[in-house]
Amino acid sequence: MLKERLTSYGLYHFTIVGVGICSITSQVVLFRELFSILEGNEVIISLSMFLWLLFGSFGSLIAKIVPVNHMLYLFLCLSSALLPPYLIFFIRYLYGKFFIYGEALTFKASAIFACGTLGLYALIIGILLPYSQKVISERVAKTEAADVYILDNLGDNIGAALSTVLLLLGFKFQNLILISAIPIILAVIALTSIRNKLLTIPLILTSGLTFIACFSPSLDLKTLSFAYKDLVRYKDSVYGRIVVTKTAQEITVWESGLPYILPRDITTAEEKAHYPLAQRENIGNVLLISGYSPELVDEILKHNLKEIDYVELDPQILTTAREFNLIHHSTKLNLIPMDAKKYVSQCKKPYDAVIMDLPTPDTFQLARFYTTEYFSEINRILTPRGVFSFSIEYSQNYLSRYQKELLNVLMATVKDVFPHYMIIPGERLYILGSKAPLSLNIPLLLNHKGITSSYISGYFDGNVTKDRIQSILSAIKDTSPNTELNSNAFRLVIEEWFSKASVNPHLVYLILILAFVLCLAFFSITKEQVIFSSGFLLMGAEIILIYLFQICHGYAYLALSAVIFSFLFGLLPGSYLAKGVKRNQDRWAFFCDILLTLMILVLLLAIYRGHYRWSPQVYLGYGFLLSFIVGMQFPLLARLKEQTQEVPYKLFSADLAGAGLGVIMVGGFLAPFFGIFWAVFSLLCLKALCIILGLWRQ
Amino acid sequence: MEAITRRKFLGLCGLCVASLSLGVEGLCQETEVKPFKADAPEKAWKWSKEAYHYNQKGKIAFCNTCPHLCQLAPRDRGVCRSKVNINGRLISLSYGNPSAVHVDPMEKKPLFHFFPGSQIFSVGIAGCNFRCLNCQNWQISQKKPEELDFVELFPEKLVEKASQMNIHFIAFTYSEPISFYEYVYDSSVLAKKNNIRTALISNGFINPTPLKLLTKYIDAANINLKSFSDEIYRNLNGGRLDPVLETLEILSKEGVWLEITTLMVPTYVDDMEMIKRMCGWILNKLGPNHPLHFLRFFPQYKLKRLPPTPIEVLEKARETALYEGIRYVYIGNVPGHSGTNTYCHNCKSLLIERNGYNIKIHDLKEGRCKSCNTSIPGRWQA
Repeated sequence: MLKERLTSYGLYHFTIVGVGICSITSQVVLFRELFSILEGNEVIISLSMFLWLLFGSFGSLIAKIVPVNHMLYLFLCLSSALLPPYLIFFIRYLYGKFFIYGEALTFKASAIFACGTLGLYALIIGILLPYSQKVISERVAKTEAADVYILDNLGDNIGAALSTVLLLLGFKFQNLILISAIPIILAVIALTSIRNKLLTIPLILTSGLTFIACFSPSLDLKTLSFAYKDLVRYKDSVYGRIVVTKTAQEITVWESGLPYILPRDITTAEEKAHYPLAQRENIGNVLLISGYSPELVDEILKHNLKEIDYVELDPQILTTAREFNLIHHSTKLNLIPMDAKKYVSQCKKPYDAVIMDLPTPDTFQLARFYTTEYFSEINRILTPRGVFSFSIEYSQNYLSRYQKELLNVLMATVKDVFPHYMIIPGERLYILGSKAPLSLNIPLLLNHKGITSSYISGYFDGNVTKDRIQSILSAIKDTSPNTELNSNAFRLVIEEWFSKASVNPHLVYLILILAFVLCLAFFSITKEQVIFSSGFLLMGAEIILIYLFQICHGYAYLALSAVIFSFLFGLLPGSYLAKGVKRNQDRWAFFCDILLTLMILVLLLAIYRGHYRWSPQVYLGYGFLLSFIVGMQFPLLARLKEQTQEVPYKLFSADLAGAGLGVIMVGGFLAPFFGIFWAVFSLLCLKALCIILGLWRQ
Repeated sequence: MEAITRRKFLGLCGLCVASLSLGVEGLCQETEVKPFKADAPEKAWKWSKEAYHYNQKGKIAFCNTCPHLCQLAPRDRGVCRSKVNINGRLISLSYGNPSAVHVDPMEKKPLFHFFPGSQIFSVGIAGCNFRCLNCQNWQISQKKPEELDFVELFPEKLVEKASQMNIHFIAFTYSEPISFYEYVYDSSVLAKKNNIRTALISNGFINPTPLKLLTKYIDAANINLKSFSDEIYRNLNGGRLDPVLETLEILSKEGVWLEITTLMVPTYVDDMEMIKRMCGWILNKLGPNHPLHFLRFFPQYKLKRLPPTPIEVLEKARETALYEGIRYVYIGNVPGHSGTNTYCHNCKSLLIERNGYNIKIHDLKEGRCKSCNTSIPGRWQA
């Protein structure tokens, strides 16, 4: 009997770890699936994370009213493992059922979509945290919230490491889900067999059938066809989903739901190639940053140059393009799979032209490519007469307020670096910068070089007219350039995206602020506010650090995953250490708050002084230390709470709610709107406010 | 709080699921086309005109301009975003305030058989009675007039400006001219008096009465026949097919020079059977002489998750239309394609060679093929 109880106790604890593993892996897999359907801009990423954590927070509160039931607990644990594959197919099905094929979802639709697909699962995970403590304490032996927290963190860390490695190895989502589900399924089966052997077989059958369905290629491809017609094949890379479709012999390569390599787009190819290259008589080396197409290379090669270096972040895109014979056969083309910012910063090779073709800056990742700092690095690698060119989407016939402001910001950024600059209002709006003069008469320049074209020769004079150029030039006003720490371009792109759905972003942010205030009011006890604010701070700081890391070291999957992991990993030893504290837990928690405040102050000062270009080790160390301190607080305060109450539901809830609001307010609001410095400053103010409130109450 | 019973817990879960379902149902509401409640200003501004086609019943205004037939209570705004009910009167807020003013080549509209090689003074005011997911002018068409910057250009000034620039053509385009009907009408009347020709670039979603009045003054139209399926019209564009077909018939019958444009949206409009039916209808109701343009689609606005139209599909559509008997069929948005040239429908002689907006007249003289003297449909002399 004792042995049975001990075995049960160990297995129950193991279920917490198992759920932790599943929840993190499922989060990774579900988010990747979601972002292949929703626009993957910073608002949607933050919103999805926010909703996940918010539902989790609700779940933790709901756990209070859920009756203690061993079988219900095991059912919920099993759901954490078996739901994700069904959710993947459900996400795809939902898109096909409720949306027009090809439609990009706007803000409101995305929010509802994310709620509808992630909500239930996140709710279950949120319920499980305090519920596990409740069930184990009542059915087996007294268990502290600190134990649950530690075990959950252990599971989260294992899940994070597992998903990082498996994605790097090229495993599909099905493999990720299966491997991460094995521990929890085994634990549930073992626990069920102790209490009710008859149920074991249906459990095994259900699990088995789920994974058969999960691995069924026909179901996989059939559901994926809701989002991609004429699908040929797909592959999940570490950066996103790459899909190949073929319609009437024309191949399109998609990256995370958007067409990446467009077939036979002569207009774009000519504009991208000839606007910058026509400027100079002799072109030696050309650097092409993203936006590959065979037609583009064809056009560039017309300039009789030495080499084209093509830089692409995701090597899978190149592999896929090669597989489908889309890579140009020219020996002058060199493929470089690397983050472009990193390449440029390390580059010693001079270029006569740098052609950048990245999407408009709607994420932190992209925002760093439209800054004075980056343009300066480009300028450094250009020859004395070298030309830099990039383009943005715009409406040819009317510049909206956002587009005007965006243009102002980008022009200010270009002017900050290049003495000569030019705008060409083609099918996209092209902006050129150089140390030497530029000319608008592209057809004449091409004629002079003996280069023929289809689009430019026929359409340029009719599209790039004096009145259109004049109307654009008259819209340009002096403004501050875009910098790494202050990306107005990012903010404007996001605002315009909101305007597509006629949603006022300021209203959204007001609602977030209201939610924040409500949370502070709801988590009214000092201990809950400490946990809430620490959760907020940790997630907010993580977003800032990830962005700064990308600025300094580029977007390399493994390195970035390590930084994210450091924010998770520190929680484990911190919470374990805090569990050993037997007295004065509140003072220790307060001391942690002071430490957190100091750490944020250090970050703030570093940003203020421009000393944020730390080595990767420093980023990792900072993330670890911050999460270590935050990790200490929960067990300390949970123990305090347990003196008056069994399970600290609101503490669990506060942790998740704080984290959720931290993600969306910092990532979706404070950083884009006010810049990195003020975002970090707000974190400092929040923590300071909580300390002051706590002292005042005492 | 004490633990609840299992039944109550399940009931709560059911409630959550029901709420989620309603939320999901709410997704569909976003695509519905309906008037805007309590969205109008309290009084009309300077760039207003009382609507020409509406009825009143008490304070309710019944707009008759387009087949949406908006019923607007005071302070409501119509589907087009331009018309509002102010104290029972239907007022257009799109009058004399174009947000887009440019001089374009005629071929850009596209109008290939209407004074080719000419320049056309083009204006567009905010608003549209459709909700096309792939609108390339959504910054104007899906906005209210009050939301945009504009240039003051009342009809008299519009005509004056075109004359000053020595441009003999005015196009109402970019957004949706039907939404600023009163401006189009007044400007066209004045333009006609000043020997300036006008062209309507439109979705064709207009009621017969206002259209027939307009046809007395406009000279040309390019109507976007977005598909030949009511379902596609509803899903992709927020409109209906039949009223557009009726518009085409009226324009043809009233002698307005008419060209038709169809954007070949992949997986929707690229159905050759549908193209055949469309061509059959055109031949039956309008005749073979109205040029038909098949344009290549590129991802745009809210329809970003589609590939561009394969060129082979455009060529097939053109082949189908020519085979069915449409005499002049063109391919657009494919630079360098020979499908933009004009060939005599009788002897196949090259009449007009087009390289984008650059045109070269070969075998065409005074509206006839030089080789076989066949009359070529169109308006050829300024």
